[in-house]
Amino acid sequence: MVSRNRLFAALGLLLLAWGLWYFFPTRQRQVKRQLKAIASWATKDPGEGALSAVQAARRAKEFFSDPCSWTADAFDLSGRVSTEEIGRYVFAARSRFDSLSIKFYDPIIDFQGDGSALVTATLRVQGAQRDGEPINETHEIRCVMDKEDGTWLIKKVTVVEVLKK
Amino acid sequence: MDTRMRAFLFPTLTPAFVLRVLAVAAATYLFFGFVCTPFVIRGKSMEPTYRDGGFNVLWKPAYWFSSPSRGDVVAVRLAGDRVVYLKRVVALTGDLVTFQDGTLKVNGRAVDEPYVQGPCGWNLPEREVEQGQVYVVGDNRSMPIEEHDFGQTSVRRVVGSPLW
Repeated sequence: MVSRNRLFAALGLLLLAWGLWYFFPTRQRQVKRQLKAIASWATKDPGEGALSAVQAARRAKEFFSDPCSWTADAFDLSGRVSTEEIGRYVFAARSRFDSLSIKFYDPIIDFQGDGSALVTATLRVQGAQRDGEPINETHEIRCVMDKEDGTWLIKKVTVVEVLKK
Repeated sequence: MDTRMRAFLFPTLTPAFVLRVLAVAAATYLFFGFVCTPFVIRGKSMEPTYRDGGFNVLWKPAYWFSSPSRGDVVAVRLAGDRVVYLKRVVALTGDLVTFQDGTLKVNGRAVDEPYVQGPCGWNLPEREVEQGQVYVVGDNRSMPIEEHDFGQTSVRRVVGSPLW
């Protein structure tokens, strides 16, 4: 029979370990937390007001570096955008959609020699447009993230072509 | 309450018991994580064969020692395998694939596809499946071709097939 004291000691150690893990995150966990924050920021709940949409658009600089470059070979698109432009696109997108859910799955994070993080993840976008048309998109994306003033910002986004027509 | 029932519902926390629980938990995690993974189907690209919202189990050892064949329904991973594409293999490395007025042709011959139901008017110029790749398409050809994700992908991205 396991003694009560040993059980409490084990629980105490587990609590300590959890506390260290939560309050002193590694670089990996910092990047994952930032991805979760981005998903939460980009997600739109039904009935969101115009003021919330404007506030959300203004927060683009908390997640993207200025400028941010992006490439989507499957759609023959690429470019560089400022955080202000990202904010405008975000506002326009939020106006077009009644609800929007953004989630990152299976993030793989590799830290490069220059300190940047190369993140490969599955991006799932689900929602409904104002006219009721549903949206359900899944893409593999590759991001380069840099730490600026203690925050991991996306510097470059590439949409990977998994299925090539 | 019966002594045996009490012992079953409120077991004594002996080291042997704790070890048994940990062993079962580890075996369950390994089996359902790496061998037989349950999943829910989201999307209509494989209808009517697999319906949106349907439940299935991904059999991961399917291609551990072999390669996918034409007609196989496979799971294609993206960054990881928590979210996968469920598609059917229609062509292998070196095959020439084309769609002409909704008919799939591989190496110049029309393919008999009893699993495809509903009208299809797809047109896609002929292309060769590259080395180390397979060509996968969903069964739902009634969708506009632009909205349907399909094409060639690396064999290494094929992570298994549905159990039923």
